Amino acid sequence: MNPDPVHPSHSVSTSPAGEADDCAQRLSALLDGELDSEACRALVERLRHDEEACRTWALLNCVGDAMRSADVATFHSAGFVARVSAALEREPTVLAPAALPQRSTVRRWLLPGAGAAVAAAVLIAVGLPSRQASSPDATIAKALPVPTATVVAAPVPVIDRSPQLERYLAAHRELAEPTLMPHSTPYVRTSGAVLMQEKR
Amino acid sequence: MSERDADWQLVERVQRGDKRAFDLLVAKYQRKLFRLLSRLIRDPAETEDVAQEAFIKAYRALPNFRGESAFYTWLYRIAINTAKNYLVAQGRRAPTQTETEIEDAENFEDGDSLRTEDTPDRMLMSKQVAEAVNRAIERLPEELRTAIVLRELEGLSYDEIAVSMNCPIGTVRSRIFRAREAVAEELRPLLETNKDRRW
Amino acid sequence: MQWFALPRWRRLSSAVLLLALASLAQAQERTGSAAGADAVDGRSAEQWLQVVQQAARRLDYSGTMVYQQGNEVRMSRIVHVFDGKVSHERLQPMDGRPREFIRRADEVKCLIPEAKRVVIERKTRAESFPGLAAASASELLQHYSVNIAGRERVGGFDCQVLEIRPRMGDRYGYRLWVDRASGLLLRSQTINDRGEVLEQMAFAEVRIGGVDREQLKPSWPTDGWKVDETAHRPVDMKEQGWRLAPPSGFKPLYTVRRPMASGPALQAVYSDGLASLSVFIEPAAASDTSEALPRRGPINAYARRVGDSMVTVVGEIPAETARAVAQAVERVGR
Repeated sequence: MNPDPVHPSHSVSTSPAGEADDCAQRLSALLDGELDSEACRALVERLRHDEEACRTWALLNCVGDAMRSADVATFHSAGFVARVSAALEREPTVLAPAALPQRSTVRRWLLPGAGAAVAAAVLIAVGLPSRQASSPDATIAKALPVPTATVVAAPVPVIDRSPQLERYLAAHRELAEPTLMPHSTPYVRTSGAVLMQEKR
Repeated sequence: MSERDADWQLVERVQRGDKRAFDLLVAKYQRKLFRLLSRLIRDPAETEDVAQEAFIKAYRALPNFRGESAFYTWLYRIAINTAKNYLVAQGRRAPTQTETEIEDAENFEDGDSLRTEDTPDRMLMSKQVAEAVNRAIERLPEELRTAIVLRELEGLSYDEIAVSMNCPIGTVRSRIFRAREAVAEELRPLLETNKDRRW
Repeated sequence: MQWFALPRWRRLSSAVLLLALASLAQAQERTGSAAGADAVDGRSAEQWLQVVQQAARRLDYSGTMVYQQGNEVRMSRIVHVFDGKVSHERLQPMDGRPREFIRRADEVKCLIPEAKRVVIERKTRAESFPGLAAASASELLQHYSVNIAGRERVGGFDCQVLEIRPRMGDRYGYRLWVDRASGLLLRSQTINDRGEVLEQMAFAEVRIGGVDREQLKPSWPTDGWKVDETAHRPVDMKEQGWRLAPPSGFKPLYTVRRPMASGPALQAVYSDGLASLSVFIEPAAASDTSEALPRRGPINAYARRVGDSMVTVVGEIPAETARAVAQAVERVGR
């Protein structure tokens, strides 16, 4: 008997198979961080003594892993979790400071989006002395105060995949053609990372 | 696009004193961590020791984790540092790697380039797993396939998937579960080793 | 701009226009006549864009460029010379490790003194891509609206401010300060849909005309340096089994196959005349997943897994556009 898909938490299953199914569904939701906290508490509690549920948890997690990488099969250590769990028993229980606010959304890449911080980078006007033209045809070089500008700072990424991104940027820069800005602008924009021959 | 760290619920539970919730995180990430560490430490027994140490260190440091990154990202750093310290204590470096290559490993997980020698057995297993997963996904009805792909490959939350597929959240939840169930059944014989073990 | 790719009537009218504008600009410089000034005032948006495009290519100038992205400021010396046929350019970043970039036409030599290496970056020869053309000024206006805003003095230069706004929300806007006398772009800002400045390029000091060719020479003698060339070959995306759908107005410039760290990759480069983007397709590494990559100023990137391939879109476009372009990539045939 399938539980009501719209309100799975209200489903009523009394058969053991149905119950295991409910549990598996909740494990699936827990995996995605989409279980409400009371159900989460109850489920974690249940896993202390329900071995079948533990196996289901591990297997459900493997699905995503396997979709992203076939490598999931290559390492398996039976009883590893039990060993860590036993080692954990000996550890003093950690508690986060109570003052922490309850968090409901966590940004993973700290991407700019609604509410991203706008950092002000104000340039102080730089005046350089003008140079006299040596050739009569040349326009006299004039000093330009570099104007102040508030430029949005890129947020600091948590894992900076710079080496990988640099390669794409260099390859992009090689073939892209600015038409209004100086041709060299992309070299400044990407701060000159150069695609070297890949090491073999 | 807002992203939620799916592990945050469990992390919060651990931070409130529930050690069992940490077991779930260990079960979830053990394979990934083994894969990562095996690139730096060749011996499987040692890999396991270092993995255990990394998890314990992560547990101890958990009060300092504020969710500023994904849990795995944070765990990953701890694991790399644990491995490095281990190698140094052993008086050796990872055999064919320079400092910059280890830096690279820290910056992005490129599964293939720094891998240890694969045995034919392991390669066969990988191939079988890949085929089983592809078969299972192909056989899914379209709405289940879409839901699981959006969740596992695109990392969308249930909310976002509900919007994307134009259906209620409860339906998203159910579809993802049924898709997982189907793929898990194909994988079960390949991954389960000992039925008597708890994990 | 690939001249031969434009339809004949356009080539003719563009040529006439450009000659007229070039001579007007020169006339104004010498006499500052009222007639010259009127001509500049009377320019349409399309004409302004053409002037800026041509000036970028044909003027000799040297100066110091100040580039701002986020909290970073980068200064570089830049020299540009047109010899009647091709452009030459030399860029010397004044920060970071010593580097120089020396360009002649479509070839750029990247000098890396600490490794005694030169890496040559080269665009594929235009003849390999008949019918492909970077967007002309009029095509650009299909996707951007240009407001000829006020005049501002920037240093000693009398500049025209041009405000370029995308017609749709899928790309960035720009604000340009153009020297009215020469058409040289002296300052530019790239702006997002919230009006925030993502990057700014500005000359702190510039001299137009009278550039000594000696300034194009590298700072170090490069005899005996190791020379590497980036290797790419033209390919056809459809033959490779892929269909790409860039946003409207982005035209293909090059489609190549090139070696990258994880193996050979396909790269398709598109431009709408202001912004450009690249789509990379390569074998996925075992643990690759789809995700947005960190933003760098105006550059966004999005990586998407498609089966056992990884599609990565990179360009001076908003994050949402990078994502949409990645989502629109499809496998075809096989």
